[in-house]
Amino acid sequence: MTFGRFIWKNGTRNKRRTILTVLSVALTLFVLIPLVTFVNELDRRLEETNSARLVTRHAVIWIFPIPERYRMQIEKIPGIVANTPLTYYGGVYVDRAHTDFAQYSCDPQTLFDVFPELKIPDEQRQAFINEQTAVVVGRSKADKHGWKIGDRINLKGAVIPVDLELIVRGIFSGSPNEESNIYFHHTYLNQAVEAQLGLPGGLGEVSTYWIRADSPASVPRISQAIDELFVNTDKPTRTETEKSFQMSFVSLLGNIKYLIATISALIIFTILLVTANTMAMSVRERVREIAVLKALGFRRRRVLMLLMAEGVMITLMGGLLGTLAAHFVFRLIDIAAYTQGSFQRLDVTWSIIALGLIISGLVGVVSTGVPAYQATKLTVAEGLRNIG
Amino acid sequence: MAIPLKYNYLSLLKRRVSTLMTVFSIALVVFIFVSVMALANGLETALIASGDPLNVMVMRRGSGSELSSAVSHEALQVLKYLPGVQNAAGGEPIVSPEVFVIVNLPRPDGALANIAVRGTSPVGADLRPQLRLIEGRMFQPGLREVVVSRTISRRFPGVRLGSQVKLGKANWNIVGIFDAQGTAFDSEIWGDVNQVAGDFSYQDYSSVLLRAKDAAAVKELVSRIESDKNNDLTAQPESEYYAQQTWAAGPIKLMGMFIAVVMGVGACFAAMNTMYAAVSYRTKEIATLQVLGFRRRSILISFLAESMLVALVGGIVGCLLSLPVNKLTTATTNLQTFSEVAFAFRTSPQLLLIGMIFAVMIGLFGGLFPARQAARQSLALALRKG
Repeated sequence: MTFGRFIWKNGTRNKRRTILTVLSVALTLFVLIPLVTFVNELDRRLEETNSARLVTRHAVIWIFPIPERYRMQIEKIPGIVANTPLTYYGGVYVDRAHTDFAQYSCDPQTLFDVFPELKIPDEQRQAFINEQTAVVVGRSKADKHGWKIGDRINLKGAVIPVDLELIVRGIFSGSPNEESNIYFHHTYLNQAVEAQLGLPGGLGEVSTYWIRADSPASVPRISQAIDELFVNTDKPTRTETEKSFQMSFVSLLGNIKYLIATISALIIFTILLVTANTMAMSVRERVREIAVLKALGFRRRRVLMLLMAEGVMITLMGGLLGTLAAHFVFRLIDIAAYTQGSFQRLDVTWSIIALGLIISGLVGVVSTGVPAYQATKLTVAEGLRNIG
Repeated sequence: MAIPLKYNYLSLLKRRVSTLMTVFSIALVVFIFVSVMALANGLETALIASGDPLNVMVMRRGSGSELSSAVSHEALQVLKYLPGVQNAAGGEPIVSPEVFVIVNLPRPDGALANIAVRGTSPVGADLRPQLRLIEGRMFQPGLREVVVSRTISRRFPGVRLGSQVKLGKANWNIVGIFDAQGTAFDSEIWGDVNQVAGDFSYQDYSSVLLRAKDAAAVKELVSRIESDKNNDLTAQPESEYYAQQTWAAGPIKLMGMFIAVVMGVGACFAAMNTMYAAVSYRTKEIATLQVLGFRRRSILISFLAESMLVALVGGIVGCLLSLPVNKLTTATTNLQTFSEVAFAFRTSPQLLLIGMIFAVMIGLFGGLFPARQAARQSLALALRKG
């Protein structure tokens, strides 16, 4: 009999106990994985940013708008390749219960120059520029809502209280977060504001300017130059890298990472207790067998390894079950719809699965280690005398 | 005849380590559940308890929060004299026009936090009896004076009674510290409405708060303001306005429930394991009990009681562990106004009760099958064994 087979036979001897332990480890991992994934999504959002891109916003907070006229002054600064205003429209998609995408008005001429990673066919890009009520949508949202070129999207205003009727003229692809946005003409938004709210000339303001610099090296100089332009105005600006802009959203949630880390640690500790208890029971029942193994000439260290391998096998089975279940279950949940588009996915990546397996393996080592060490410490005679 | 509980108690003591581990794993599950729910609870109370149902809040139609709202000075004159608005003893209507702005304050770690500043009046303060001055005095109209909440003065270094704080372009004197008893106002700084509006170049008010005569007048005022198409205003009871902002507590609660239920099932399996082991160690004891004349039903109940005893102790320990979490303050952002909300964890008695029920359920389901096995055990087989 090989060692592998020996471990397997021992591990599955008490089938009911093994199944219950595997299931409790699996359930724990199933709870732990979405927490880890959530933190991972927060980090990934920062990784996907471009280091040559800057965002200019109101110095206090980005929900305060800044004037449209700032754009001309900003563009006089050397080193700027492209610049588009983005204004958060925050409307409600009339055809669905939940609006799972963000909507921005932009300058259609420069949008794709500021975001070169967004891919769109040239003729679609041109069609988008040519028509004032045109909108470009992300590939994943187009697939989800069945939007095709020429379809209408009706939006009801919430943050900006005007309604929009848009026509799909282009579908772009990019990262999952980028594909969850749609972009339309800022001039069309202004027109709607003028017609529906009676404000001559429209908003006159934008939420942010998104700027692509010629290289990451010019980013600090440009950002300083922009903010100096408006420092003594009514509406001072803050220009920061895309990354630090995104970071300010994450920090809004407060100590969320700390909270999740604490909960995760408690969860891991709980499962450690549970498996240690089970492994202790199964080791205790086998004290005599361990003595027999030693009498047969097996070294103490080898016996210890055999017992620990058994524990690790059981927790790994649970870990595998729990992480894979998480991988397949959480992708079915439409998290975007419940978070108003601010979270697009709970993507349990392979590296998270690997992390889950490492955690379960370690739980196996630690939880079996203590009882196994104690059991193998006994002499052969003591062990054989044991009647437990 | 029932088997005395002392039998279970002594059996548990005999397997001390295993019992303790089971107790603690159940305790941890209960602790996590109660703490996460206390967090959601605290956030919810911070916002819900903020409004008085007789206060009617008027904002611009379509604006989800005071931040994006604007109410003109002309509109205020109309609102003041609407029927149903209560008058003060002097005959003046009880109405508070307010300005709501956001400023940056540096946290101890250097990061900037978004803090809400409310420009209001003595009337506005009277309309929120939750707010009590605990140190210093109220701000005076026409001066750059503010009162700050105790929560803010604790969270931000340098924001203390007698010192100055930079709001917008100018420095303001801090003349008082207030306590708003856990409501949303605990995350605000209050100053004079005209002074704040002037400093932040607001031509309009953000909102107007009216005091209705009674509950019927609230309805009447709301429908009157809503139906007036000229003004483009919307009205709602102040309590409703804050209730709408509590949706952020929803996902936290969902997370708490999810963790609790799944981990609870896991803990159930763990308890089952322990109990099965207990039953199999005590095969002979159970047989002896049968020989002594105890019914199968008594044996079933006895083992079930044992498992529930363990769970009960686990539940109590979990609840005790969660008590220090109560009143712990933390902050997040109100996603409607993008300003910081400070709030405290709140472990209410109901929450603790739910935690206990939860623990007992774990014990019940974890013990049921092993107890049934014990009760069905064959007497002859057990006695022949070893």
